Amino acid sequence: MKVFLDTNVWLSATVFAGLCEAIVLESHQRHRLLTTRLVQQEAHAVLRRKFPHISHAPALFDAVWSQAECVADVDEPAKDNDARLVRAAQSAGAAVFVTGDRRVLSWGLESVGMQILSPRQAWLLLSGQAQ
Amino acid sequence: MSTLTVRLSDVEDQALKLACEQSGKSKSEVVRELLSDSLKTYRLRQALQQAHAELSASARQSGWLTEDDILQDVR
Repeated sequence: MKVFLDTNVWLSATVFAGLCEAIVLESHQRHRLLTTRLVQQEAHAVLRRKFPHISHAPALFDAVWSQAECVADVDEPAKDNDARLVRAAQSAGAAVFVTGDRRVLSWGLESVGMQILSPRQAWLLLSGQAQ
Repeated sequence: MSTLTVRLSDVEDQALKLACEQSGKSKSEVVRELLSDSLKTYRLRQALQQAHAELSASARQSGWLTEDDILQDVR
């Protein structure tokens, strides 16, 4: 199964041990973990803003993020990165898009061919515990 | 290509032979595949552990106490 993680999931996994970390590991080991450069750019911007005193924070992120398979970004809509990431995931054939963003989760009902799931929902699916 | 000699327990040797029979591959091929997969996972685990060690304390000091805080804060 191809799995695409939103930037907030990547950052959660990079900063804290827990559910998002488990999703990254599970996706990497048992599925296909996809990403795009836009995820990296967003994550770097957040890390530089949040940790200005840790200059190598983006490098720490990259060491984790670079283990995923990088697919093509989508340029439109230019002012909505969330929509761009969802479209990039769909274009790459992802079966699951994982996010903690409630706005993006609300798109799940309209999404065709790809599930948009919270980290908890994704964990149950990816680990084979979903009902 | 270099050569590595590894001592296996009887149980490990039996498991390796079974994997070879089931896949039709040689011991070397099976071990190389397993090692390649394991090293990728090892590198990812190491990268995660290093990031947690260097970022989690600063994150808590700056208001991110749990991963849920990040999920809600980063949009």
